[in-house]
Amino acid sequence: MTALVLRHDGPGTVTVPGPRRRLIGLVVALAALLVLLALSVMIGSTAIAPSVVWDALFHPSDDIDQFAIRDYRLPRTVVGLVVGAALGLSGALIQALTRNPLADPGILGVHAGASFAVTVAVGVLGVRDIGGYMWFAFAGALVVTITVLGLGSTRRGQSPVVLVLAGVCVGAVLGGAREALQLTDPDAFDALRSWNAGSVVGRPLDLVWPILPFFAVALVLAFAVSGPLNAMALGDELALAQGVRLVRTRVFAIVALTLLAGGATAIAGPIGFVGLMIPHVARWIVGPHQRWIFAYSVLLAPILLLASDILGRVVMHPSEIPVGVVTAFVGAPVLIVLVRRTKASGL
Amino acid sequence: MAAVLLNAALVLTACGSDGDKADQAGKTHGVEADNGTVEVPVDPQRVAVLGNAVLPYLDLGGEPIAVTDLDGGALADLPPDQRAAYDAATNVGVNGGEADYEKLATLKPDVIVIAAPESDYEKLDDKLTSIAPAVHLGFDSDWKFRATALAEATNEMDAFDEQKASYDDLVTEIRQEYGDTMRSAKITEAYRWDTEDAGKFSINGSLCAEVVRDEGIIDFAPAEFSVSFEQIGSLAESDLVLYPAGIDGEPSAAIAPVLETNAWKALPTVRSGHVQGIYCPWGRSFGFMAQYLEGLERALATLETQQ
Repeated sequence: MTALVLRHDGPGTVTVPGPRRRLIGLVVALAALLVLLALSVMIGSTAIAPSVVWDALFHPSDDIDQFAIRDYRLPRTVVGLVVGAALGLSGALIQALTRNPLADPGILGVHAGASFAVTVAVGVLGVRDIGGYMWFAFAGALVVTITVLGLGSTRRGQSPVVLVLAGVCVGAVLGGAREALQLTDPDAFDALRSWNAGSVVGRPLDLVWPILPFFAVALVLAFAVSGPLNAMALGDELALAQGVRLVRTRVFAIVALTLLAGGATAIAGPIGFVGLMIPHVARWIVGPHQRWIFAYSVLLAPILLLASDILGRVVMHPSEIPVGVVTAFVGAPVLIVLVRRTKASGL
Repeated sequence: MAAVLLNAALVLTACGSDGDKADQAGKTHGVEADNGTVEVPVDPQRVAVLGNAVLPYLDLGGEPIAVTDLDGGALADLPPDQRAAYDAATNVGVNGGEADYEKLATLKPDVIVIAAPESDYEKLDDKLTSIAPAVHLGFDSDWKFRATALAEATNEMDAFDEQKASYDDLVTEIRQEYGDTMRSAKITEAYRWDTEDAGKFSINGSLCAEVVRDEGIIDFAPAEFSVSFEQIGSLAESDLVLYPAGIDGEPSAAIAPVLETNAWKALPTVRSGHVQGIYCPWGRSFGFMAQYLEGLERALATLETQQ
């Protein structure tokens, strides 16, 4: 069935595709992602023949170019895929949860917590390698989000507005503390300067595998709450009337988005705009159906991240631009378009 | 009689010495620096060095009254006498641009030498010159100009002349001994800054490589900064690859991730032993660069032997 289904979305009427068209879109997105994955392995700062790339993956030898594929391009491609999917899904979750189209995971203090923890690790504990930072960043993101959850909970439960305010306040306090530490410790400042740019380079897969179980749990939780979040989009009263358990849904959603955004930030550093704009793109395509938005976000976000990373490799060859910088360049114009088309992407 | 004459001679000598100092007290001379010609005392007794002027001044044997922070690695590499001089000085801040200038003023320096970016100094000029004559060594100027200005401003010309002579001798010696080798061989430097992003390194990008290139000793290819580890394979075309080592000769902590890669281990230059670690000192002065040239000379000697 390819017929369009009409729905009311505030003033005026918009059309959204039916399930079959959504499914076809999902397949197209999957195909595009596969193409980007292949391009990410084939394109880099060194020109390597496709036959060498093929051999590197399927007939490994000690050829130096093969090492470039297996040791650098393949891991950064996998990291781009995993981090992109996590950021996209976490962005969709936070926007659905807060009913705020401009929300991203950073609004609950995820980035602030991770950055502060990395600053403490570098400046106070002398941690210097990415493997060391990563767990501090993950722990920082989790602890701060739990703190925000606690501060944002009132006797009447959790209000999205109170949660966001608590996140902004905690983020501001940690941001100040982080800057104070950085200003008094040049080593911490230098370390954070590169980490803050957000990058998928130099992250060995050995560091990524331990985070994956957290992502798997988050994925299950996210899709489990997608139905209740649909109902909550209509308002808490209507959701309650439909039997939605508001507190449980919010807690599950927050746990899921924290695991996703915290894990992604721990691996790659803060990467902006992906979690903010991809859910909008998904919403334009599929309408206000959280399960579909989540599925599309999981596929579209790595497409954006991988495309940005490939662009960053070639635009200043042989030097490279961190993917976090490229997504910011790509994201800013998109954000402007979003702001001007709020009706189309409204929640 | 002889004893009387000797005593008289000693007294006269002492009087002469005191007289010289007395003569120099209050006298000034002009020093060419990045902030123009600065009138400084001929023999300043209380020297404050800020920013990147700290290391070269200590290397000249100077004993400052005020310093700013040194990087942890630079501090660890200081010889004991220089470390003692550094510790004896009053620390007035993080760097030249972010020092406690009120604290500096209470130390009553005779001269302040600050090596800091031009943009930082512009904001500090009035503040510093109200304390003492300030000699600015900018980041855009030639390192030899800066080293000369530092020595002239602090009256450390004897040590400076000695270091410069040693440096010039080494340059001549390397050109004579290894000129042919350097013309026929491709020499590349793999470098990694402490603050470099994970998975990135630089090719021919160290300050020492820049000095050697500017001096015309080695015709290094243009520097490439922040390139991916996948560029390690490009080093395969080199006959000799240099990498940064600590003062103890061990690979620096920053370069270690490069040396641990499979691509590095597979390089023909690595397999044939044509790789050499060289200590690149933290500061730029004739003394520091002479240290680097000694290491370079040893590396070139191994290449010549193997050829």
